[in-house]
Amino acid sequence: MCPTPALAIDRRTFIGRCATSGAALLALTALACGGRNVGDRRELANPLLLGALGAARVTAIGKRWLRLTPAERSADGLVAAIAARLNGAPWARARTVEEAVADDFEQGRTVMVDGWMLAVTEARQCALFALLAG
Amino acid sequence: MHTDARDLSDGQILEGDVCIVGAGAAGIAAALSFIGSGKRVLLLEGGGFDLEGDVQGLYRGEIVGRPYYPLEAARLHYFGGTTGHWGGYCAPLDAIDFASRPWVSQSGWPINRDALDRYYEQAHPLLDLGPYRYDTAYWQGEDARRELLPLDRSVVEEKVWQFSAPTRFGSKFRTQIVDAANVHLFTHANVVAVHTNDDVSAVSHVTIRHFDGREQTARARQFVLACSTMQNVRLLLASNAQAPAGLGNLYDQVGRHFMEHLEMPAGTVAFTKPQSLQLYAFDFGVTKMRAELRLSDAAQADLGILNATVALESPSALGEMLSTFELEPPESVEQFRRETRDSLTADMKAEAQNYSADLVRRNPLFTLVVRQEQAPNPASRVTLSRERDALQVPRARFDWQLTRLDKRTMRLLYATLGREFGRLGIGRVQMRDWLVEDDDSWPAVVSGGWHDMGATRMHASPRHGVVDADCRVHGLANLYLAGAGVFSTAGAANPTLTIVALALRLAERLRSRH
Repeated sequence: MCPTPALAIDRRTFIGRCATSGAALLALTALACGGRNVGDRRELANPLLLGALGAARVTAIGKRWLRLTPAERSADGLVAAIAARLNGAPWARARTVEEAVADDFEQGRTVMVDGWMLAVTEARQCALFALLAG
Repeated sequence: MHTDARDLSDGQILEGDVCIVGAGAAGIAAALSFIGSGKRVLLLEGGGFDLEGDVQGLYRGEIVGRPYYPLEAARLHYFGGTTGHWGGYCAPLDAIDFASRPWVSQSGWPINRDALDRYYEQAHPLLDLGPYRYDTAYWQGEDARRELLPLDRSVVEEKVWQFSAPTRFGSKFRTQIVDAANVHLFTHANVVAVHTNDDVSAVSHVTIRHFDGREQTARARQFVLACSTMQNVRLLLASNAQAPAGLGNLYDQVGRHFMEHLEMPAGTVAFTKPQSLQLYAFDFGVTKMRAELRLSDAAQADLGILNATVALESPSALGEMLSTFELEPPESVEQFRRETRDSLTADMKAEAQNYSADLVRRNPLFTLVVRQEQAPNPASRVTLSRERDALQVPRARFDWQLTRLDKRTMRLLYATLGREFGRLGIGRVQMRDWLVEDDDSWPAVVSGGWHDMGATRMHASPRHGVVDADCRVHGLANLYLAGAGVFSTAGAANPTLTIVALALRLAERLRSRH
């Protein structure tokens, strides 16, 4: 069972995306069903900030996000929300997380968490990191 | 020539063509311009060649507004003035600083940036600066390691700074001034009053007073007050024998619109990709130039905010939440002054690092230190205290006030940097807790750069300013002001370079007058 409608994509779209981007294949394969394994989740729970701030600060940011957004307190919910941002228009290839983050900034989908201006997508990544670490 | 005014007899009269009151950066720069001009210049300095407690104590004042640095420690009252302990940060004001900006009340100078360019260039050798070049391309050509951040320069761009030695005017120019045939320096010559003719249309003389009560008179054709922003205000307001509200104060403008630079660490950047910061980093005493970041003129107009720059600083060197006032208490600044009488000592100079991409990869966190102009605010002002100093002159009463636009500017500046750094994949920006909220509250860490500006602003109309475009006090034919007090708006750049440039411009005008 797919966790959210946003994650369900039809076969035609899926094939089209795979043809557009080989790089997206692995991600989309994982996203085609909500049953991502732990390895996939850890992949999504790897915000760019981790290298700069370290695990403790990223965990703190993630926990803060979880407190601010009760609806996203489950790993499944976070995975779904992040994955939804990777799916663009049907004719476009899927975004990488990095592209989704950049697009969030471009479109003003930013949040302040512990004073950090973050893309919504990466705030969710931090939250997922915190959940998986906990 | 030099005379210690304490050796003069009571009632003695000094005469010259030009009388400059105050021998700091502005007064000395102006006096230097007159050397060989044929004009007889009286240069009156209240202090001696080194700091003296009783003289410095004349600067003590009452602080009634926002917390501020002790006034007697912020400015120095001796030959060389506050260049005795300045840090040497220099940059010209930006063109937008001179413009009338609809979103900044009381903005706009009666001159533009082009009018100062020539004098900025002349000021450079006085301050031991490099070539008058403030474009990144030039400095990149000097050092290939100076890479540009991948910014969208329609939003965020570089503001280039240069760093003076820092030059101590007192030691650098003492011999030149003392040896000048047509400049007569009087030390320990504290001016306590400016006197005018009967219809208060021109200055006739100034009174010098000593701690023992003796007085002298200085007469000249033209007078320049170059005593620092706050002391110029004090002198104008206290000179109320013929004009009850003080000189140049027909429209209650003297002392209003006092401005400081807001200088504080208000955020952090975490670089998410290795990036050379050689162009942007700074090591005290060794770095000759660096770039800071500013919002483009268009972005400032779009957001309706003030001008500011942001420096990238190593957090370990600066600390996280201390104000500049806390970081540098008076005793530390005084020690710095004493130990750097002529120049920095070798052990004060930081080690020059190579801010390579690899270094940034290993240390990706940098503090974002803002330098921001303060919005002109008539409620931010200097008046006279009821308390008098040892020479019986009312002390300054200082009421520093900020506005909502000041807070809004800082918040939107950091927010814009955050968005742009994120959008362009450079890094992430954190702003301090108190900066996140869109209100007019300020934390205890608000601090300034010890830059007293405004309070005797330049404006074409005496209803909105104290001096005209020539730095002449409105309504008085021969009284001029020098120093940062005449700044109509403060800009983001530290004031010394502009102070010297304006002083050179003023001196040029006075030299040509008969």
